[in-house]
Amino acid sequence: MSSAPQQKQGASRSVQPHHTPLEEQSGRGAMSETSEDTTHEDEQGVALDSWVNYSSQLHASPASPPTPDAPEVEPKKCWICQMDETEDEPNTVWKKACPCSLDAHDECLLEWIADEERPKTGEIASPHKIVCPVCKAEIKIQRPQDPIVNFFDRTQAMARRLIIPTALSAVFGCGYAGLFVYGVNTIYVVFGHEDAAKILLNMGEDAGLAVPRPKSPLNALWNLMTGTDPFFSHLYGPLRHWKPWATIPLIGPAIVLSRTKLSDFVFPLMISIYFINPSHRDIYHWPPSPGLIFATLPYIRTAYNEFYRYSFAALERKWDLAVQRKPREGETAEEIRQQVEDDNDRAIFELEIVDEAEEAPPGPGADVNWQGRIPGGAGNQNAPVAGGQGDGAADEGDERPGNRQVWGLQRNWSIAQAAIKITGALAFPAISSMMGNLLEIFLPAKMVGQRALRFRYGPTGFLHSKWGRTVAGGCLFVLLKDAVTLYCKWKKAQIFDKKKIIDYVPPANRRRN
Amino acid sequence: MSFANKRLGKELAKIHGSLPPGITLVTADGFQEWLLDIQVLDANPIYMNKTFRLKFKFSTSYPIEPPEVTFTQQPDRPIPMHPHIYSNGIICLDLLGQQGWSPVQNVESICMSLQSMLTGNTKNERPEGDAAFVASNRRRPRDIDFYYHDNTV
Repeated sequence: MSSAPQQKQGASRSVQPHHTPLEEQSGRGAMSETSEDTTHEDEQGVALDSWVNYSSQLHASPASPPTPDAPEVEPKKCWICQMDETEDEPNTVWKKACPCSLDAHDECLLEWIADEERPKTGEIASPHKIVCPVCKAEIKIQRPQDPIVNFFDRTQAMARRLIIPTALSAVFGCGYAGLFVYGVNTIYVVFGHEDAAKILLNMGEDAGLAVPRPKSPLNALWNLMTGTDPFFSHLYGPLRHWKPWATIPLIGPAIVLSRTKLSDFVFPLMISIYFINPSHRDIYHWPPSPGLIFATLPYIRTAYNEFYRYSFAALERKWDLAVQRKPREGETAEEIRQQVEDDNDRAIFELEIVDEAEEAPPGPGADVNWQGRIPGGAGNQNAPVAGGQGDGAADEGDERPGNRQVWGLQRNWSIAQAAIKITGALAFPAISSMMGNLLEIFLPAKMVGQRALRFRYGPTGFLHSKWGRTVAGGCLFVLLKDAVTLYCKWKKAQIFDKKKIIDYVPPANRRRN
Repeated sequence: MSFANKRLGKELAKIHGSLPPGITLVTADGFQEWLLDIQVLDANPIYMNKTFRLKFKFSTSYPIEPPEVTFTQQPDRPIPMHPHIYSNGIICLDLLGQQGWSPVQNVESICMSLQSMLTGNTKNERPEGDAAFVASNRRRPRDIDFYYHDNTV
């Protein structure tokens, strides 16, 4: 028995192409073991072939159980309707669509596939991947091809895949468009209409304005875009280069960033970058160029803050302490102040939590607030007056006298505070511009000059250009705001002790009195 | 004879021939609704010495579409306690949903699946939100979108 398969395998390699007498003989020896009445030559050939197939299977995977004649004895059974071959009506078509043992009627399979592919309401049926429920092999289906249907299906599938990228790019596009509009707006507000148009034009030219190539398809697309845009079509001429499109939206974020502590580390570098360009070294030009202003702004601001601290810190502190209750025995005014501040911070935080999530416990937030605080230190001196009235120049508030903040404290900003800061920062250019306009109205014509006549040529007034007035207006605003803040503090300290409580008078007595 | 009836006739013949232990046919009058009893054979304390009655409802598209299978309550046939079986007899099993179903399944295999679902269970509890579901549900089991999240039971 053990030698017999060896012999037949040797034969199997040459049997399959055609039968030679020699192999037939060796095959006959094999037949005598499996089937008994295989006298007819055709039958014998068939049986031999199946036997040979089996033996080669055996050779390939000896572990598989030997069931050589099972498929021939048991009739095929449809896995869908459970009918077998013997019950078939004539002309029934059978299919074997996957590698596993399942057979099915063509008709049953088609019905099942139709159900699997059944479209959801509101959709059009589209081809799905159909897999065998048992072996999970894909069932290959040949469909009549139609170019339009194919295109439709592919487009639909692609659209489904692109939902998230589209949504993300829509959000990004809104943000970008908003920042771009803000940037252009700011340039116009700060520099005035004429200068702004020049700046935008120069941005394109400095960057080597692309030479229009009328025939290129890109140009055609460009014309389509500019033709359909109702808002900025007049800008597209100067904005032909990529540079303005990339830099203008950064104006808003840069303005906000310049208000954070981060700017004290980054922005001072700008002055050295600015002077790398030799043409920028002419600083005796009035009004100073925007680049010079922005590059020196961090220094100017620090200088101003130092001056403020030097001049008013002690006074401000005195006035702040004056509006508190009198220290009880064994208590200093400093401690009361500390207490008040902590209470305020916590109150802000609680308020915020109520806004954000109703169920969040206020505890952890208050704890976080504690961590950044230096014991006994002065903490945030941003007075309510300054916060409410003029956050246009908000940063001064933070860098006020005696205000040695640590980084941790910076992170304690609540969302409400951050929103106020951001809004203030973004509104500052507009506020400066308005102050500049006020200057134009109230200053004598000699200083303001005639912009149209004197622009760039001849002797000019001190504040002849819109840009110069904006800068001056911004500075003026900061000064005014601080002055008003100080005045209010002083006044409140003055009148603090002069409060009087009015006795309640019942309405009946009022007439007589 | 329709597609479904042919197949059900075939299955019924097989069921009359033999059924796995713990599964018995109660009635199979026609091809719309069958009743079968199942028992859990091992010594699971939750289901010991209890018999549960299953009601199968077949649509004309069976076996392309799954049958509607629920437990029904009788004086001596309780609804089994299981975290995926609601107290009104509705069963949350992916096999019985449009997604998990395929025509390879049949009445016998469903019974066996439910049997093993009970056998493997150790929690003597109803699904979360059972009372609310039972009180509010007016839909047929096949229209309910179960969320098959729990593969541990």
